[in-house]
Amino acid sequence: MNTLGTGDGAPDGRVGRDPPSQARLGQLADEQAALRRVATLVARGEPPEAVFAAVAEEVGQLLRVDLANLFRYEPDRTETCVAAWGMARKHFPVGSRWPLTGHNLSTLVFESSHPVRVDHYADRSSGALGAPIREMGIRSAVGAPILVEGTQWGAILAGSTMEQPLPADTESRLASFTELVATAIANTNSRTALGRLAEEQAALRRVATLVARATPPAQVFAAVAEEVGRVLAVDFTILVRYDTQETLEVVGTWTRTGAPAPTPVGGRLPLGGRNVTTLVHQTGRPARIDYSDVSGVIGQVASRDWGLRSSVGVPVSAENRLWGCIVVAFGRLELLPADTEHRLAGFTELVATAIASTQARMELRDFAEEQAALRRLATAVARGAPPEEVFAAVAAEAGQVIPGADFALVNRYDATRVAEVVGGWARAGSSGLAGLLPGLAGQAVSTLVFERNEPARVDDLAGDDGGIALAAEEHGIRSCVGAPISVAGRPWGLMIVASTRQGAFPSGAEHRLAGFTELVATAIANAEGQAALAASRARIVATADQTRRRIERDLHDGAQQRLVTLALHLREAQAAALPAPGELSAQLGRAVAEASGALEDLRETARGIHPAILAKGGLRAALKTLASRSPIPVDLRVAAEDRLPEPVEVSAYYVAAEALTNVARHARAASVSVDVEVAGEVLRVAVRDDGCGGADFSGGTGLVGLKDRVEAIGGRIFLDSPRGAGTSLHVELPITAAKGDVALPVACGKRRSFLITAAPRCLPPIGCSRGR
Amino acid sequence: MGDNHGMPTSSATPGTAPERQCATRVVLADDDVLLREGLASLLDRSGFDVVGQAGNGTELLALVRAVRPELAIIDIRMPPAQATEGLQAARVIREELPGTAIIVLSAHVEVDEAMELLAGGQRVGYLLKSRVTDVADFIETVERITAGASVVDPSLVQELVRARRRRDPLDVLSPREREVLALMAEGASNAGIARRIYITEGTVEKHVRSILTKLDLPESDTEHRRVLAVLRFLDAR
Repeated sequence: MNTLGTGDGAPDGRVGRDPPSQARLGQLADEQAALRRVATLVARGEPPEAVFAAVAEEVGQLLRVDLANLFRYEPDRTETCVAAWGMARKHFPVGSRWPLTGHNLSTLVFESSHPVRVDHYADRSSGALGAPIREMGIRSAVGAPILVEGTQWGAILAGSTMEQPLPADTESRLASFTELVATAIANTNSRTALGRLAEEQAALRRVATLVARATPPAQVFAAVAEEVGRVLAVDFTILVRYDTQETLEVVGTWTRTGAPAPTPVGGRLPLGGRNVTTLVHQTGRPARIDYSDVSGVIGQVASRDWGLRSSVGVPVSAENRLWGCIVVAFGRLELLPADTEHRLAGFTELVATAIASTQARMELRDFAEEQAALRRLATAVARGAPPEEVFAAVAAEAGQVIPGADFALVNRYDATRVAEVVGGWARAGSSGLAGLLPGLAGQAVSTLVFERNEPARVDDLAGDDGGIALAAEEHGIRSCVGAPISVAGRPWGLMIVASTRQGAFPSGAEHRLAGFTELVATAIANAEGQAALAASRARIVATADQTRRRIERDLHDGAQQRLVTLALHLREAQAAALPAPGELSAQLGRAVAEASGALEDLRETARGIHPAILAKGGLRAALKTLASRSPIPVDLRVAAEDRLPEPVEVSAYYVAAEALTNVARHARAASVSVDVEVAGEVLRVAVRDDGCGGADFSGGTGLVGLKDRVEAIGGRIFLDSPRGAGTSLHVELPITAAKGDVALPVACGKRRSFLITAAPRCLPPIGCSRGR
Repeated sequence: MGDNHGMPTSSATPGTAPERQCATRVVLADDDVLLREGLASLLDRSGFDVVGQAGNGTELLALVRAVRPELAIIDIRMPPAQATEGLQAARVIREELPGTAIIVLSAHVEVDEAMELLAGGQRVGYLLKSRVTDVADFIETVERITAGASVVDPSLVQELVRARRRRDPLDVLSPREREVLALMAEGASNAGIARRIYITEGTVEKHVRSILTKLDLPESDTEHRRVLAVLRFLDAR
């Protein structure tokens, strides 16, 4: 190199002024070849390091120097060696880092942004970079800046140990290489940016897939936090939801180290002070805070617990409402890149979509669940389930359908402003109904509901003054919603759903109770209607029985007595006429015989209308008489010692009588059995024959009449009559229900009541307000 | 129930042989005045001495205690409740004055009531009210009862005999024996039975022994016990 340098380099460096010589042409050709080789590397997309190394070598050989170097400037006023050739390999190895201080070429280029030449370098250099220069004995050196897209990226340096200064065109020759280096770097940068973009897109796609798969929000948030953290290469990601106007809730976190987040998911913090999340909440726009210039609880937690230094937050809006915020941060003293806000935007949109679709899905699911619950209840109501069963089911379904519910109660008002709990449900793990039922919490909402006869809510009982609220809190009740139950236009009671959390119920929850209260009302109306109908039927049957009994008495005590008396008078007349001709006596005798026949008929008729023995001797005696009169042999077994209520005895008797009549008329049976037994609260009557079968309720009025009679007193009747295999008629008659009045059954064992009074809001007593 | 001559029957026990000059003293109890008077008239014509009439159970008891009749003919249904007041009165008379013959008349006859009445002792009748229209038969029955017999209305006995059972114990009896059994239940004596079905008393005795053996009924020496046993058997089979 030295020979070349001394051979054709102009001693004064004024090459430009000389006419092109043959040597100069060769030099140009060499230079073009070198540049082409490097350009080829750049065009091939070789890694920057390879390009840098090639540039250093080409420069070193072309300029015939002893040392060639490429440095990259770092943000902290240092430089890193990225390529070294010649003597530099030893003294400025690739990767070594140097402070840009003192008098030396790198520092001069960094500060001036222009090519710099230093002669007698070893004598005049200083700073950390000066030491190797002196050691190597570099005498003359030239450096040129590498500008990438207008900013100073680094420098290229060449130095010689020769005393003679480097040729004057060295700066310009270096410049042609710096352009190539800049192009290579720019290319690499854009490729990196492209890769980063692809990576970002992949991350977004992964999150989008989760969203599309209806992944639970908590999982989506966690995934977003992680993807954001990795793609943006930050130290922390925190996803928060603005809970109320005053607080935020952490919904997703990620830390680069994998350490647990100091504020876990579910944690709540009050907004306020100077910090990114509060700024985003206030402005609705992205915010950035560098280093520790923060305040407020969030600021303290962020800097003290998390160790955030530089942070950026961007808003997440769902359905045109500010929903929350994504925060990314460095824990080190380094600024987040300027494009951080921009790059987060894609993620916020996905989060918003996830939230919107989750909400829509939850609403849809809630709706479906609610519909299913209402359908189940409606089925129970339609099949005439007992009201207390419906009440319990309604409470349970409402409790499970209304989000946030820990307790659900169905209450009925009584005449004295007391709401009695007739059905209750408590979430498993809740402290049971016992403490709640006296309605300390319910009192507040039930008063409101009763007052206004419309749904009402109390979001925070603790916010109220007075003993009621304190007691409610003691029992853990913080919020509740209620809705009135009206039956046929009159207030009947109310439903209350309560929670141990304040503000547990979404807006409109109280109105969602309407579907349930309507079903309760229907069930009650049905039950009342059925009870009234049953009572009416029972009354009709009882009246008919009493009438028959009266007719029987009238026949015996009236008509029969008259006939007997008549016959006696005829006998008297006969006796008086005894001396007279026999014809009159015979005629009187025939008249008596007629009267006797009439008496016989009357007796039979009366017996058919109502068996007197039933009232006198009871069911066993009556059935015995019945059996003894049956033309088909009867096996009678009666296991009922005591007298039973009259409607039961009469019905049982008619069942047996009608069945035996049918057997005699249609069954062609050889024998028939009648079994009567008391089983708990039920009288069972079974009539079985070994006849031809084929009986049914539609066949004649007899069985239908029995069915009506049995059902009228709340009994059940079963007919089994396969053709050719005999007939079995089974009847069950409730012994207790046959008292005439059918009361609406209420409530279960754990009945509690509570007084509805003006509770926490100083409402006037109900009695007064209803009068308005 | 025998011939139409209204003659005292052979079932009359010794010592109480009816004497026309010493007419049977009777009280009547029925809330129906017309019927009661008709019955009184009939009894008068038939040689009975109707010594008193009552319209309800309380009056009857007072009357019976006062006049000590030989016979009380009682309607089963009387005020106040029109239920079985007659039966209750009969029970009291049975206790207080067991010698009094009692006939209970009813619009219908029931086996339970028959059993209850007959369980009380001898000289008891339980008859359908309409029986009074067959005067001769009725008077004959009244006399038999007064004389010590116990009589159940034939309609009830016939019903019990007719009633069919599976594995009927009465199947062991011949038709003639069934006939005799029914008459026994009606309270007929062997002589009465003999007259009714035109066989000799000796033959009746043979039938009766056979029936009692076949049905495993206890041998009894009084007519009352015989009727009671038969009735119980009829009811329980």
